[in-house]
Amino acid sequence: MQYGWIGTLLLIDLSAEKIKTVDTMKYAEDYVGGRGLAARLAWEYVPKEVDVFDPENPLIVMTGPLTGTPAPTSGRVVFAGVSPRVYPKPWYTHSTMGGFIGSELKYAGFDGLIIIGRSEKPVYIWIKNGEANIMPAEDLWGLTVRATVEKIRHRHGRRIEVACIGPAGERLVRYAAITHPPENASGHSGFGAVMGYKKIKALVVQGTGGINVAEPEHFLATCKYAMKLSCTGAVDYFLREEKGCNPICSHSCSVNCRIGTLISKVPRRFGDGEIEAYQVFCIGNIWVSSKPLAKYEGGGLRVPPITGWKPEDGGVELHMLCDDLGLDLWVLLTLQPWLVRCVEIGLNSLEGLILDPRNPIWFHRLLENIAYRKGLGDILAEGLRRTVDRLRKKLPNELIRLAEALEFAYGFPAHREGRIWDPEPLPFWIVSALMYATESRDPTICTHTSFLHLAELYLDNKEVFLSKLKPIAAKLWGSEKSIEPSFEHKAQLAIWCQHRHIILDCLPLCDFAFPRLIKPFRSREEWLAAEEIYGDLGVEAKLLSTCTGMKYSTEDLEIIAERIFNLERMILMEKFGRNRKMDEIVATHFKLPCSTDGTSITIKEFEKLLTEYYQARGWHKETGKPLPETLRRLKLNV
Amino acid sequence: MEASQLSFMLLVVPNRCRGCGLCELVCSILHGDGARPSASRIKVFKDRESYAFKPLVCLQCFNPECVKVCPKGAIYVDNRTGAKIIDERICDGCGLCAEACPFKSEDSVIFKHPSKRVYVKCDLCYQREGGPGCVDFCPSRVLVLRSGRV
Repeated sequence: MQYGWIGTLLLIDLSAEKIKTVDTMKYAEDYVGGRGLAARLAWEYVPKEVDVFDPENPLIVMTGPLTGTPAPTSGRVVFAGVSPRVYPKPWYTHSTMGGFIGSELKYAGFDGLIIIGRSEKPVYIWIKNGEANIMPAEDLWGLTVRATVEKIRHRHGRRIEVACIGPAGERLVRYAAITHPPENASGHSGFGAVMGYKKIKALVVQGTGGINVAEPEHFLATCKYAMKLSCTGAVDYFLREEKGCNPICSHSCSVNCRIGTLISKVPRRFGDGEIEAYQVFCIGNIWVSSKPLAKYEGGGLRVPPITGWKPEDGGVELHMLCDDLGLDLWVLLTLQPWLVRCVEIGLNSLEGLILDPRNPIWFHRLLENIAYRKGLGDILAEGLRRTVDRLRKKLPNELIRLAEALEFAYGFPAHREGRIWDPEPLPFWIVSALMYATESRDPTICTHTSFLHLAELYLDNKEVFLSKLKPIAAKLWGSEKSIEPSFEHKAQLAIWCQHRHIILDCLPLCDFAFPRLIKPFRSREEWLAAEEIYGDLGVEAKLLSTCTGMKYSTEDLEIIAERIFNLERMILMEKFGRNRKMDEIVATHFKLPCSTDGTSITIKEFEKLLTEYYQARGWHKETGKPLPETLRRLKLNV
Repeated sequence: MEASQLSFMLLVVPNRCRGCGLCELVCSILHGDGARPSASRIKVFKDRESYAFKPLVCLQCFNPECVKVCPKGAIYVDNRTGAKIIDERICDGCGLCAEACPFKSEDSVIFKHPSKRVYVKCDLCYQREGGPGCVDFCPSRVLVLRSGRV
C-alpha cells in the first residue's frame, strides 16, 4: 500500500490532447515532493534555453506527501516552470501557494500535474476521482477570477476546488497570478501568464478519495506535538492563542497567525473578537492598512512610503481587484512608491497618462489597464525593470536606479533585504543577500521562521539574543560568530536556511510555522527569562516518517535538500546559462545602507563572501558550478 | 434505553470555526479511512468567500430516530458514552437511518461510506482514551464535549 503519496502524476499534453499517468514513486524517495519532485521533473521536461512562451515550457503543479493530511499547515501546493517574471531573461523557478486545491488533487487521485504543449482554444482541466479531461472554456475566457469560479461552480457544483487565471494571465502580464479563490495565489513567479499562454483558464478538481497514513497513532501524536510547537512565529513572535481566532489560509493550518486571508470589506470580528478581518498581511492585505508603509532613504535613493488607504477609502477594493484580475499583489508594493516618486520629482505624466498614484480611484483604473494591457498599463505589465528599460531615454537616472532597487533580484520585488522592506540588521541581511545571490527568485518569502524573522528578537535585545543563540549557532552553523553582526562565517548559516526552506517546500509546510529553531514563548518576559530556547528541528522528519512509513532522519532530509538545491543550480546553469556573474548582480543592491543599522557591503567584500559560500557548497569558485565530487556525493546523476 | 443514563454530545461554539478541516482529517484517520474528508463523520460546511464555516456533527439525540428505524437493529447505544453507533458488521446499507435523521441535509451526519457498502456516523470515538479526536485536535476550540443524563 502507498502511504503519504498517492503514487500517480498526470502528464497532460495540450497540443496532442493526450493525458498519461507517470509513477510518482520513481523519484519520491530521493526528492520527496513539492519543490524537489518538481525540480527532478523539470530536469527531464524543461528543454534547454526554452522560452517562457513556448509550448515546450511545462507547467508543473506538485503536492507533497503531507499535503491533505492533518500535519499542521501542510495544505500547500508548488508550481514550477520557466517564469516570465525573471529579468532580464526568464529561467526556471518555483512558486508556492496554500489553500485547499493541493489536498483536493490528492483526494482526486494525483500527486501532481505536468502540463506540456499548448491548446489552440481556451480550455480548463477537469479532474475528478482518478479521471482528467480537457474541457472547452471559450465561455470562461475573458472573465475575471470571481466570475470564472462562479460559472464553474454552477456547472460542477460547490464541492470543487478551482485555481484559475484572470484577464492578467490571459494577456500574459509577467506577474499574473494563478489564483485559488477567494484569496490564495501563486503570484510572484507569474505562472498565471504561463497558464494564459497555454490557454488554460482553470484547474478544477474534485476528489472523494483519501491518503493512507502508515502509522496513524504515531502520526497523529506527532501532528499534535507539531501543532503545539508551531503556535507562534508569524508576525508576532509571541503566543497569540488566547487573543482570538484569526483566519486561516490553508487546509490543516493550526497556527493562529495574522497572515490569514482578507474576507470582506466589512470589518469583521472572529473568535473572541480581537481581530478584524481586514487587518491582516501578505496573503490578505498589505494595502488595507491605513498607515503609510515602508519608506527608505539612503545611498542617494528615496523610496516614498506606500500610501495607506483606509478600507473605506478603497484599500480593500484595490486588494480585491488584484485578486479578481489575477495580478500578483506584490507588484503594488513596487509600483506605487515608484509612481509616487515620479510625481515627487516632477514627472507628472508617463506615456501620455497623467499620474495620480495616491488616488485609489486612479490606481484602480491603472490596475485594470495593466491586466487588460491598455496604454501605460501595457508597458507596466512587463514589470518595473522592463518598463524602465523601455522608457530609459525618457526617465531621469534616479527613477531608473529606483526601479533597479525595488526589483533588484532578477525582477522580483525586494523583500527582507534590510533596505526597502522589513527591519533586517546585520547579520540578517547578509544571510538574505547570499540567498538572493544563489537562488532563482526572491528566496526570503519562504524563509521567515528559519532565520530572517528572528531579527525581531535581535532588535528587541541584542545581548540577550546573542547569548541565547550562540550555543545553537556553534552547533548548527559551525561557529558562534555566524550569529554576530559581521560578514564572518555566514555561508553555513545561509546554506542551512536554504536547506530548511527546501524541506518545507517539499513536504510541504508553511514557513511561518516551521522550522522550530526556537520553542514558542508566551511573552517577551518568558523569552528574556528562558534558559533553554531550542525548539525542535526534527519534527519535519518525524511527520514525514510516521506518515509515509519510510524512515527519514533530519540528516537525511538535509541531504535531500542539498541534492535538490544542487539540481536546481544545475538546471539554471545547464539550461539557462546561469553563472557567477549573474549571482553577483544582486551585490549592487547591498551597497545601499541598511535601513536599520546603516551597514552595507562593498562589491569586493561581497565577492569574497560569495567565494566562501561556493566553497562551503562544493562549487567551483570561479564558475559557481557544482563540482563533480559534489554531484557524486549527492548521488545526482545530471 | 435505561432511565438516567449518562450521555455525551458534541456542541459547536458559534463563529469560532476557521475552516481548517483538521477535525475531518483526524476523524477519518481515527476511523481507519486515512486522511479523507469524504469519509469523515464530522463535516465542516465551508463557504470561504463569505468566511462562513460550521462543523456539522451528530447530536446523539436522546430519542434517536436512526436507532428506532433500523430494520436490522444495527445501531446501538454505547453504555459508557451514550453514542449511537452503527455496527458495520450488521448494517446492510439500506439508508433508512439517514432518511429518518431529523437533521438530514446535503452534508448529512449519517451517510453512506464513500467506498464501503455501509452507512456511517459519529461514534464519539467511544473507544479512544482521549475522547473524540475532533475535540482534541481543534486548534480553535470550536467543539465542546458535554454530558447530560437522559
